[in-house]
Amino acid sequence: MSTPIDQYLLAIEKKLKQRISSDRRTQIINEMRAHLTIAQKELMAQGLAEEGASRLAVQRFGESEVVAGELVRQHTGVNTKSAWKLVWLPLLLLVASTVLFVALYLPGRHFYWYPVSRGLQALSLVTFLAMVARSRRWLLTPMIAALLVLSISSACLAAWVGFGAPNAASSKSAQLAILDQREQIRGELAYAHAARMAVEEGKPVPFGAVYRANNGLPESKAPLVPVLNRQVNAYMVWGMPVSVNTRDIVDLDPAEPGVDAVAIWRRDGAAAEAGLRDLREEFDHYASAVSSEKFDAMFFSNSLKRQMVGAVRMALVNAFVLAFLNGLFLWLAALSDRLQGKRTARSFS
Amino acid sequence: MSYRTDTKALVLAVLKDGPKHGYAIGKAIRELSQDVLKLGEGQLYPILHELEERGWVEGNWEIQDGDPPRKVYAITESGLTELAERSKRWSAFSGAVASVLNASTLNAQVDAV
Repeated sequence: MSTPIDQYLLAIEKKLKQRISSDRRTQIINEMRAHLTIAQKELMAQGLAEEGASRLAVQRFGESEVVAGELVRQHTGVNTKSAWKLVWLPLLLLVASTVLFVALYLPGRHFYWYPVSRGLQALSLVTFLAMVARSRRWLLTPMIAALLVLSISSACLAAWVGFGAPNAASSKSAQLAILDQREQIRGELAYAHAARMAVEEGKPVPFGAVYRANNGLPESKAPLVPVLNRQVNAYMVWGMPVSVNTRDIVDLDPAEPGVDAVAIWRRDGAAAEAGLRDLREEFDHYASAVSSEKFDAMFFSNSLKRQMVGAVRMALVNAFVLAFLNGLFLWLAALSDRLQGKRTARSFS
Repeated sequence: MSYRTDTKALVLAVLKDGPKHGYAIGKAIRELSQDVLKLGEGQLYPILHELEERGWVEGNWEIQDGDPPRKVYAITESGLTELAERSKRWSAFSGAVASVLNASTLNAQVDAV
């Protein structure tokens, strides 16, 4: 039958397992056994029964979890503090950031939450890395591994896309898209100028012929009006927002029935025309690049750059998720150990 | 300087009188401090292992008849140097605290007069 000392040392040995080498572990346990035996004998000499002396010696030695934790920290430099303590703050920040991001899709267009959401994500990642680094836990290893694996695999993918058939097809498609887009912007600019001039001269706003022609829509009697749209590009991995790019775009859309197109043109016409002119200049620049002989090389270079930036970003987030899951796993393991420890403690009494 | 930091100095000081095993070290600290300093017995071993790793103490196993083998620690030359350094720092620290406490007591007495 095992004594309280045996049970106590067994509990400590279990906690040292897989963290301290077998030889070292045996030495530590033997050293503690010698200590507890002397303490037990002294207590028995003072008149205590063997069982009571053994139990008191163990009690004076301290909680097995604390003692084992200190030994692990001393021998490996690893902090055995609950993994949950490492992840609660970054997790809270991440949840807040995700809630904000989800709220962006609620009615009301809360665009000003984008930077807050992005800031919280960055803060979450920085906090997590700081806490992991401070605790000197092995969580850093999978993070670095994930970063390397994802960067290398994404670089291979980018190279394949860049040099292979997809690049030729994408390059051609990009050329056509840019030219098509430039034509549409030119048409819209011409319409915007005509509409603004008509309003200034007190004439009715012309119908949206340009819009219909460009979009292949049937004949419409509605004039076009400028609408400021915020274009949102969200980069997401595993349902978590990583990066959101916003940009204001001027669109010309058919006016809704009952809308005073003249008033809208009077109010927003100049700004809309200026915006479209900027866009046209931008696309003129793209179009001249498209006609250049170096376009394929440029396309490849930009595509590779974009792929690489995306790869690093994705690697960071995935590494973060991976490390978080590892933390969670460690926490569950610690919880299971604790429950087992409680069972052992119950068997003492 | 905290008490926790100075636990190493306490262990080194006790070992200065001669080699001892873990239990005896804890007991000596308790007795010499007249039960004021009660070091958690289990906390002693990580400290002893650290001191051993730094080369300030040396541990040797002793085989005993009928009882489990025990590890006896002895202070080394570098341990003595470290102890001297720590004692110096502690004296400066405790001296400074005493000066402040005495000065404030004196001021209180002057105020009372």
